Amino acid sequence: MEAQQSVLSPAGADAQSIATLSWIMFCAAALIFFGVVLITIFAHKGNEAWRRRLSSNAFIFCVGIIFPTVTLVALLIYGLMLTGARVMATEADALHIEVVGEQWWWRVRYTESGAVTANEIRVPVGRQVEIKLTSADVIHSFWAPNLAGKVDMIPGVVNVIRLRATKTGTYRGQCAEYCGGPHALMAFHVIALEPAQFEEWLAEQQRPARSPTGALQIEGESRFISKGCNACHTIRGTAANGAIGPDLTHVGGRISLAAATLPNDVRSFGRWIRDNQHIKPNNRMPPFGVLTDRELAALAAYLEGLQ
Amino acid sequence: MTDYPHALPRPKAELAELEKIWKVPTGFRLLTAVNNTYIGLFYVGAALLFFILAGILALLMRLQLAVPENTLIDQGTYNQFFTMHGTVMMFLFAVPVVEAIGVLLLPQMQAARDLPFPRLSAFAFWAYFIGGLVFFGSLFFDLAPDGGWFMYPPLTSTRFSPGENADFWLVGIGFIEISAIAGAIEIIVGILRTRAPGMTLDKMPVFAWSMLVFAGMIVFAFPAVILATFLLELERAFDWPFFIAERGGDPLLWQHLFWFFGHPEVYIIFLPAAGMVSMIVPTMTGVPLRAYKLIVVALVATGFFSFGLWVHHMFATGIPELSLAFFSAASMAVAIPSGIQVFAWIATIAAGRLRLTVPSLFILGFLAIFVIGGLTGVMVAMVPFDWQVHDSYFIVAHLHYVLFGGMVFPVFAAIYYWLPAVSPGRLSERLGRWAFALMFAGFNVAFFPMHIAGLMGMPRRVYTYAEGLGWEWYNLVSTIGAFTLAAGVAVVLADVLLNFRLSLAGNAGNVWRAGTLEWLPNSAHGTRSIPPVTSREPLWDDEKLAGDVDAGRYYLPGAPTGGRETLVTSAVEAVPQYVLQVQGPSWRPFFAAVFTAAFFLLLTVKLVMPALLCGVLTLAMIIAWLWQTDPGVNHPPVDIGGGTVLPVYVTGSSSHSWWAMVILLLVAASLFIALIFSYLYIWTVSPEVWPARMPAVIWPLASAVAFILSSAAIAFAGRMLARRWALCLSIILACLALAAAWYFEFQGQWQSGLRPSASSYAALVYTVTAVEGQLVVTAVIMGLYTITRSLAGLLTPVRRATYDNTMLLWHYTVGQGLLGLLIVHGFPRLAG
Amino acid sequence: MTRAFLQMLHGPLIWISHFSLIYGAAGFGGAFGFSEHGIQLFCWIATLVAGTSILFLLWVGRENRASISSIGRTLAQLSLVAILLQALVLWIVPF
Repeated sequence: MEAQQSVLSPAGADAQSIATLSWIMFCAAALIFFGVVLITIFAHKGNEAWRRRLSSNAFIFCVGIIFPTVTLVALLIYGLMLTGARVMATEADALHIEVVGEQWWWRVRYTESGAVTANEIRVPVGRQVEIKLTSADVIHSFWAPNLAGKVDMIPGVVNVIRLRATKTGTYRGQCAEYCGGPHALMAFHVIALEPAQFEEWLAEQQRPARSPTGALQIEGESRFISKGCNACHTIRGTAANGAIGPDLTHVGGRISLAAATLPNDVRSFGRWIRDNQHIKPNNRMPPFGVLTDRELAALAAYLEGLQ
Repeated sequence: MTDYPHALPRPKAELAELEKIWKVPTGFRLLTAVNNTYIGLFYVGAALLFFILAGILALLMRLQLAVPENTLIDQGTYNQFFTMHGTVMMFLFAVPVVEAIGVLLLPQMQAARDLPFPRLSAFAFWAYFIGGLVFFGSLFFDLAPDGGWFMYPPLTSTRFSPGENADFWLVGIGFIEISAIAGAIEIIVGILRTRAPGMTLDKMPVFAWSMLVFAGMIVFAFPAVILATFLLELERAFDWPFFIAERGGDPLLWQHLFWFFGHPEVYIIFLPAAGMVSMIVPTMTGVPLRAYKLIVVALVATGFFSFGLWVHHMFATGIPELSLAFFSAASMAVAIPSGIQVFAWIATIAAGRLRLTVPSLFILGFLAIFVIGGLTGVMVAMVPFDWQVHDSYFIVAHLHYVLFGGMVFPVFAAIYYWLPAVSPGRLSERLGRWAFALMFAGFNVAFFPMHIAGLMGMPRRVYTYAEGLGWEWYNLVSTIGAFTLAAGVAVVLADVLLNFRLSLAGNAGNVWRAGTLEWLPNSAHGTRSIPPVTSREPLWDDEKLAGDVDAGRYYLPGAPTGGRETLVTSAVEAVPQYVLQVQGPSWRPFFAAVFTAAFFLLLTVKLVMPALLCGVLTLAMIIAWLWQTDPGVNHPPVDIGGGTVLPVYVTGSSSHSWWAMVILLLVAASLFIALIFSYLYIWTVSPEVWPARMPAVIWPLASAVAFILSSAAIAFAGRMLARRWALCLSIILACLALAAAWYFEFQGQWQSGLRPSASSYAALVYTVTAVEGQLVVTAVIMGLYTITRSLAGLLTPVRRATYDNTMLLWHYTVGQGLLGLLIVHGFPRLAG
Repeated sequence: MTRAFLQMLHGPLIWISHFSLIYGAAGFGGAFGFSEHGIQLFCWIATLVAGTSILFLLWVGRENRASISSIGRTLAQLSLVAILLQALVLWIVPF
């Protein structure tokens, strides 16, 4: 399996050029390191002629000053050109997304369509994606290594990252700036789809939640209101319109729960609602230990059904 | 040399008197000891204790990360652990340990009897040790800070960290930084002014050069973080919104200030270690260091260039690419000096024959590890690469290669190398080899895999990680390596416990056949006599030197003034200038340190009244300690030998106290510059909070007039030193004018309705006033102290050091006050 | 003393002034209302002045055999390299 969260398996244009730079630097560094080791061995064990050469001022000057200067200048020029390349215009057909880092999850909104989701970003392959990044509380950092380098999310500041996925697939990203408490459990997925598939998905996301089917799910829908879940969560098309936590309109269709902490299945919903403070300590959702097994099953079935 | 300054034999009583004067107190009075070797050793010991404590935290963290989704350590505890590990290693181990080695070795390397302000070193040590212990103790009460060693707001602001944990960091570390600055001032004056006669700058041991650069960097870098902690504490305690975006603040201001300190900090730690390597390599190869001048150039250049790197830690914050690129280029520039040093060491090895002793092994290990750390350092200086690896385990690997490889290995080499100078024997070669093997292998096994884990996407500061991301093996291997490394450190500890016994006079002697002066026969009083220096390796050039020094043939073989003395020489050419009477053991610096620590820690837990009481006691102790300084001409000029007759008291710009005062003012100036930077920076971020209306011009004008008046009054007092009442009156006038100047500024702002919690602008305006207020209070206290000295008959036109120091501080205070007025009142008018 | 200080440290001092100027101009120039072209021109002029002053001081001090002075000259040469690296930035990275 391809690594899901790795600098070394690039699936985006930025990540690709950085991976190339990385490999060049790794090889050069290995050569230089073994060169230094070899020189040190010669300095210690070599014959008189070698050691005389290695102890000369000319040696220090050439290997200690000239060689590093030349190498570093060459590397710097390469690096500056890559740095400069990020100063680029947004393309006319770019997809715009806004992501807000919150303790400890990601609020996602598609600017043009207004679709709202959480902890999961789907993008079309090949098209430029411009993501505006900011934070609602402390500093977070948006990092999906397979696609691009990281950019910090800072309260009061809007930063921009431009991505272009080159391969379809599911990539994992994670908050890279320590943001307190369960910083370790603040991850997300970027799913790169074929353009047609993406449009289909986006259209689905704009629709209100599908109505529950079956007794258990219908009971879950009413429990969602009666137990107060709606105070924090929105499910479009229902009376639930809380703004504190993630929008759950299509939560059942996402591939993970709680910012890529749990797999998305009925069992996880149940565990999360009752026991979330053990699974992800200090997260902002209160644990609902008072729910009966029946209530919990109803809620889980309902939420899982929100495809 | 055939003409010795002194003929033999020396009078019998001379040595006995010298020993009696320099005798180190015993029993519980050992707490009053100020002798640099004792303070130096306490200091090294304390720093190593913190190294071990923070190392234990690291081992616990490695256990937690050994397997995915581990539950050994809970999230909250882990967050405290990594915060404390970083903080303790940086502030309580790395900086103190090199400062400690400097205190321990510098006077001996320069054949001085002690540092110029021994009580200041004692104060700095005790403040650090007591403060550090309490700070570490916060872990046991669940009060340890948990915002990371970098303490980024808004995570550390009241809203997201309401507990006292963050205050422990801000107050505790702020206070320990002050102790580091005290040590730095001591070290600069010590290096520049108390070298052996003839030890010109270009004959100074490289370690002294590196410590000079180290201390200079502390003077300019630490004030930035002291200001940062001050601002954040003001925000937490009084809601002054420096970092709160809604009221015009900016969290990035903290990062600028923190890293303006934080990046030089890396070199502050590394340069002295490089200096140690430059001392050990020549000894072990038996030839002088190659390219001495280039190495000096490298040290100084690193000191400067490292101040152009701070944004290097902020590549991912969204700063424009052009600005990032400047810092990337500066990072390239700083790599060149390191290359020079590495190849100069290799050239030295080639020039001689390296003896593979334990110190040599640690240095070879250092070379290998440091080169890797340097290479990954060049990688992360490339902006695009850093966008990927920043805040990943790649950085954890890189920074440990640089800091552990670049600093801890040389320190362990130094322990094996220099311990025989203060102990009757060497440490064990056999245990040392085991220790090295375990540490070298353990280090690489622990940290090399982290490069790969980081590239595979593992972020830093995570207490757990999911299965299936490919990180499992790397983490398990790292944990095994960490414990191997710890075993190596344990072997060193065992070796020290088995083989180290403190003994100055009965030390092992020049066991490595080294060429520098710290290997002369030594005792509590340093060397018996002070030799003139004509080369970089005096012991190699004159085989009889040790015997001659010990027989008392050179300068100052006794104690002509009947007290502790050391020679003061000129800064560049090291020409003897005067005999400095240094101070001996005392409870005053010890209790001053205890009360200072108590003051800060009681403030942290918001026990204001007891804190204030301790503050008053601190002040009393410091004044009592100062009272014994400034002895005046209490002895006629003394003959130090060879017909050189030197005064025992000097004032004015060539005195050591003048130098110390000027350096202290440089510290104050760096802090003020950082504050002005903050003001301008916040303006560029939030110009909208700058006011449309300002206080009436009359207020700043009145303030400026009063400032100038107070400076004039102090200058006038300087001419009235012989006339007691005129002096007292003009100082009182100066105090009143200074206080009035401050009050006018404060009142002007207050009357205009500005309140500090209103906006970042208001908070900064009042911070300029507050920082000035601290200086005003200090100046007034010193003014009153000067009056008291005068009334006690201890201030005369000759015995005037007390006045001189007050005067320097006064004019600086006025200068800063005027500049502050100009900016606070001029800039908004200019920009608006 | 001041003389020795300057003999030794003139290079790094010029470097640090140059660095502050160009970083200040690039980072804050916009906030003061200067145009990109103005800032760019300013940075180039600052670089030119810094570079030539180091070259000039190197030339002035070329005869001085004192250790302090020779250490100072090497430091100045390193500082010149560092300034040239900054010029590289001005040349390659778009404003």
